[in-house]
Amino acid sequence: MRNRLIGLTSMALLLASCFGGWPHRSHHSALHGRYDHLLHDHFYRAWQQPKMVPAPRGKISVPVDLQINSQGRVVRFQPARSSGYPAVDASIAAMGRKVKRVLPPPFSLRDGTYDLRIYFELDVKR
Amino acid sequence: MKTMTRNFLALGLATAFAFAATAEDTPTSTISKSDRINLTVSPITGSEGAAITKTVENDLSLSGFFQIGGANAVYTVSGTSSSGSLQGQVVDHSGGTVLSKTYSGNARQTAHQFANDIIETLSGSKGLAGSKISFIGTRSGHKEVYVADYDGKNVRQMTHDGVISVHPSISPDGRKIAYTGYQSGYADVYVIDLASGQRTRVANYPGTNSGASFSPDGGRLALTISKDGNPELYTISAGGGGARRLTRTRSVESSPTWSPSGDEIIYSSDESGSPQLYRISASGGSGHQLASGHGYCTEPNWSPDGKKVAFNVRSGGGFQVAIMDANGGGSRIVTSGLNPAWGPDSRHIIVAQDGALFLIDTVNSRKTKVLDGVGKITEPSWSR
Repeated sequence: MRNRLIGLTSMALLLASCFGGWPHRSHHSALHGRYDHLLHDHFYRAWQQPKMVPAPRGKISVPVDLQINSQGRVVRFQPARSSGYPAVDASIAAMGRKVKRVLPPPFSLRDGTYDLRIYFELDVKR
Repeated sequence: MKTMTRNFLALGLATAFAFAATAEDTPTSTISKSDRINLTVSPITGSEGAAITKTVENDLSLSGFFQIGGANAVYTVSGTSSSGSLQGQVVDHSGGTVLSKTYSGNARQTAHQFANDIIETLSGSKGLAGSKISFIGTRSGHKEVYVADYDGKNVRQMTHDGVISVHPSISPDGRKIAYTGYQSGYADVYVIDLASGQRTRVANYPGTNSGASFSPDGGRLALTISKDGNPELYTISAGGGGARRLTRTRSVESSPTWSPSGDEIIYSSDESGSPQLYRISASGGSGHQLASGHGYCTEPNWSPDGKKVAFNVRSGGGFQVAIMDANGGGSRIVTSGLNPAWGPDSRHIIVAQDGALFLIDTVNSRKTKVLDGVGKITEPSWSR
């Protein structure tokens, strides 16, 4: 009996991982995508990236965890780590201080808060 | 037991799905920008629109701050030209006006003014557009003094003496050039007013008078004079007279360059056996050697922001251009070439190499030829 239980639980885990979680998440994916796109554009405009970063040619990336409540207020703006370049970190922090409110999530996404991780990526062109 | 098993199974399934949902977790997005500002230049309308568009694009490109014409432009530059004026505008991604201004003058002047305002508004840095360079060219068969716009346009020959003219130094405001000429048979220093073409001999002391450099306010010249026997550094009034001796050594001092405040001068001297750079008060005293890390340093040029010095070093049988902190130290080679001169933005230098002039971006090492075809070009100097 115990083995059967473990087997069923494992199968459930496998199914869940194959189909990507709760069915309603995939149902909402287009809506999520559109809202993510709006947030992308909003933060794209807000980010005044530094112009002369003393870094070698390549990309510098900073992940920022965002949480937006049902009214569109940015209740969390948390860089997950430093870029290693003070000018880049300062530009991200300045944007966090500036952007306090965005468009509210669509009605069907307003259960609690909306979470998104944005990677701010600076392409150094030296 | 069956009920308990069912409940346990349901709990297990729910936990499994919840776990998977958490693993899928927070959605992600990537915002990618370049360290260059992405903008597009719409063709400027009007009779001279094409020429103005080309000049503005070139100024913005040479500044090093912009990626022009790429996808996802953040700003759009546009304008309308009419006779003697240009109405320029920059709007951002959302249509908001960032810059809107009317400029007067000829097509190149208005284009340069507009480009400088774009650079200063969007990058916070001073623009290069509209600045001037002087240099020596041999197109006529002799070493003569020339002046041109920083981008190599509007070349004008300022001397026609048929004798050797060397060491030109353009004043910070770009209105005068001091140079060393041999028309008297000796090395004397002359100043030419670019607007009128009028030339004044400002230093003809016995012996050598050479290598003059304008102070930041344009009121004085630092130069080498040997009237007391040994070549020493002096300052004189830009109109001539009022000589003040700065150095007293047994060695040769040359190539003075002023600090932005006008309080100090960096120069080259062979006091230690080989040419090295020294820093001295503009009122005289004893110069102290700057630690350059190189055995042979000449032709220093102090950046307008006061932070750096560009100079020549000799290594491996050739000459290269190095930059270091104005206090000494932090030296690095940026390019090959001779006679580096800083531009107004303290980011670019112009150097002479293989008879041509090159613009060097000291941030990304981009090297752009801005002028050739004037014979062999040497000794550039750049207005501020």
